[in-house]
Amino acid sequence: MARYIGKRIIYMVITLALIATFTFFLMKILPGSPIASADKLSPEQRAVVEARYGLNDPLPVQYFNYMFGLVQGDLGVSINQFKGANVTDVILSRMGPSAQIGFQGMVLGTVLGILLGMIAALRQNSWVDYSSTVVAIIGISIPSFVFASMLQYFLGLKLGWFPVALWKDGFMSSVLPSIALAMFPLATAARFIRTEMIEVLGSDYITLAKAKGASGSEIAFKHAFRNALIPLITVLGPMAVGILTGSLVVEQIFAIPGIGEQFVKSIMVNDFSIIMGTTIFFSVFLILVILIVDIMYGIIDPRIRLSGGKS
Amino acid sequence: MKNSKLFWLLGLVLVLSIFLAACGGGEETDGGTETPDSSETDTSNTDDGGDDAASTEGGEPDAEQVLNLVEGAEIPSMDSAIAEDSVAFNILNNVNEGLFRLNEENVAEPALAEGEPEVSEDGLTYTFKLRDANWSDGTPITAQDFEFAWKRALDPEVGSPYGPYMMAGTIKGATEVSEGGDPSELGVVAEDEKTLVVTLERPTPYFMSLMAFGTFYPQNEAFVTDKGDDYASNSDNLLYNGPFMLTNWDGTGLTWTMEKNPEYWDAETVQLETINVDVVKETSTALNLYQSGEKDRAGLSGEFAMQYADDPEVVKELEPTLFYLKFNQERNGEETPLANVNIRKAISMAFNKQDLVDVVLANGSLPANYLVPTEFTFSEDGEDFREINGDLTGFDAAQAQEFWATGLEEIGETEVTLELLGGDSELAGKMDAYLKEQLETNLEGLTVNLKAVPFNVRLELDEAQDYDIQNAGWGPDYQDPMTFVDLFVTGASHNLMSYSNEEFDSLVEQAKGELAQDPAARWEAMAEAERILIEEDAAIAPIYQRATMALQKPYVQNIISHPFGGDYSYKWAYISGKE
Repeated sequence: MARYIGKRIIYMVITLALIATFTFFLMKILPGSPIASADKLSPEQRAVVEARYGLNDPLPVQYFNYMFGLVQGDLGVSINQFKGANVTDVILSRMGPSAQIGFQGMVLGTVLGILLGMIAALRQNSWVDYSSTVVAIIGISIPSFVFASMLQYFLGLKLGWFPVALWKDGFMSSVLPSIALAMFPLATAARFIRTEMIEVLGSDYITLAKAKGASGSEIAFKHAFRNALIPLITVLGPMAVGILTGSLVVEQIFAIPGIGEQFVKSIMVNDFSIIMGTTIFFSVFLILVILIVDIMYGIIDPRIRLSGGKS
Repeated sequence: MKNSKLFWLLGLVLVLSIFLAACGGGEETDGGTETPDSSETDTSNTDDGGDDAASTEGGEPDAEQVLNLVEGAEIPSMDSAIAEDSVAFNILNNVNEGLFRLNEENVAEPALAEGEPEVSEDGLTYTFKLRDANWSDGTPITAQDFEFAWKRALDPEVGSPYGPYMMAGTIKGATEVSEGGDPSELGVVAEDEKTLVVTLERPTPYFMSLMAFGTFYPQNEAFVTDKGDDYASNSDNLLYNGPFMLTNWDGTGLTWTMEKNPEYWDAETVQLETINVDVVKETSTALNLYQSGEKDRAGLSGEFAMQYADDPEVVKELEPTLFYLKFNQERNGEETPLANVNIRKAISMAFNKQDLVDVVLANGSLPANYLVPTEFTFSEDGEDFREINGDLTGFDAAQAQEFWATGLEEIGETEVTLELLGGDSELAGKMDAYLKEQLETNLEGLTVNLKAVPFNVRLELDEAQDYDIQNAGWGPDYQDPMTFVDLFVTGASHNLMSYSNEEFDSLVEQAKGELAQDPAARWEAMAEAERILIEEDAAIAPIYQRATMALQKPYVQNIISHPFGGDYSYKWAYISGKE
């Protein structure tokens, strides 16, 4: 196991280096300059400002400078979004709200999704099943910004149950954004659990359990549900991606001081160091999620071997 | 299965509802892209501050003086030497102050300067006397604070874009200092604690209005040096000398507060105690916050303007920002059909601007037949610069067709295909489609191909001069017609369309040089240059002068909007009748 994890970590580092390299050069192709008023300045004036941020060095030099800093944990300073601010500080200051609504959305979505999926499977082809399918389709297909806007308008403005936007009322401020983010994991989990449960419910050992006189709920929870849960772990990764991309718009709509909201702006204004820093941060997060999922998978399902045949 | 039909129906309804939902939710790209304003980058979605004309004179101020605003973007920097965006300049204008300040009538009046400066005969040396005023920590503001701040804005190590941009060519030695020259050569000297002597490169009639601009604010050297890299990194690492103090700003957050500054020399004028600001980037969110009563003002951009046009709480505000078609006369080293003056005249007269502003924009913008905006600059007698020239062109399909026929004959073509480069926002798309339709209908044989690109891409294509016609815009950097007129002199960095007219150039040169001391003749020269540019040469085709709309609660009084520098002043604002 330790060997497996060690190997995975090495792969992680390589992946990260590739992502950083790719993003770096991709970003440099972005049209426009990170200097907001570049079009007003004379070429000489522009050169002076660019020199201040090391933007006038040849591209390979800029790249190696950046990678060298990165290895030492230095993500550089923001060029124009928060002029002069340390990128690490920017990300840390924005992490809290994103983590909170992301976590709440994930938990809420997964729990509700599992429940919905189970009910649908147990009452297959009933109206409950159909409505859960409808919910799942809605959750997958309605873009989160539409859903977020609707929540804001109806539950926030019209009914006044929750704050319309802003990050001022503690937990209450996080409710609507969490629900908006929960839709995708909810739909994914519901679909998955339903399919898996139906498959498991049709398998031989369930028939055996029935024959032995196990009660309906015992079969559903003890036998069927636990086995249906395993494949769900595989979609935790994609779900985390969904939460991340969802946060870009949801945070903007609810005016939440999170990373996603800030990331969008950094791309619009070509703030190279913020774009790089945030991309790397997101990548580390996702790679870790995937690693954890893989390890969990091995622990939960003994049929899956992580490290060759010996263990 | 008898359920299957029902299921299909349900599915169909669902699919339809998704499409409808998707259509309704397309507002998120609003931002600054629909306002391709190359001068003021990407800020149109900001709070839009206030409108003096629309706020009816209220009664007695309330006991509670709290204003709640939204802003469209974060503060990139509160360091007045480094600031280059409208959010920062707006806050700087309210928490700090320079020698002069734009007053309620948008005239620069002495602020930290005690009275008008002494100006030498040749118009090159200004001697300012400072009034007794303090920083928010109680230390007195000195002439050295100005000298330090201005030199800092030019220091290449600091890397300020606006320092060199505003000072080079105006203040003596600024160009050299900004390129690493000896700072002591700069024409800014603090003779004693209360006397600042500024030497200019050339007489600058609008120099007082520059003194109201954020880049020219003072900074306390001891404080800046003491804070080092942390200077201006949050609201505690700053000193204030304006009507308000910035508080609760952590440097990267979406929220901050402005509180009345008790140390401000004119504190008795200031009525507001607190201004709460939150960054809200979505127009629809800002509107929801406005409607829930949490915010007192919300900007209406793009299609929201049309939606709320008849709302009694709408305030309109005319900006000195002009949009026009740039005609590129030389592309990839070859002359375009637009090198022919009759072709240019034909195009500039062939689209209906009134319909464009009424129907397509519908936000109170004015059709423009000029370059220098109306209600922007005024002579000493209060006469609008616009009154000299009036309209210089206009929609006239019949005349356009005559010019078109002549032009086609001259270039020996019967059909012309041109590319129209514009922004990628919904509004820009609608506007350019309208222009295409008008031009193709009114000018036979003309084909217009639309090319919609993001703002940054447009700037790159502009720089490469890789377009035929471009829908562009410009907002002023100082309060003088020159900020518009000198865009089009031969070789200017905004020209980028190979326009060149010796007479135009020489008039601009005269206005900048020998006429600088004679305001009336100088205005005449700039007006004549404007006439040549538009009436004679049709080098550009003006389209409209932008107005913006916002919703504002009726109890908000006297927020003053400014044509350049900081967008709004809250110094004179107050709340009346909210309770």
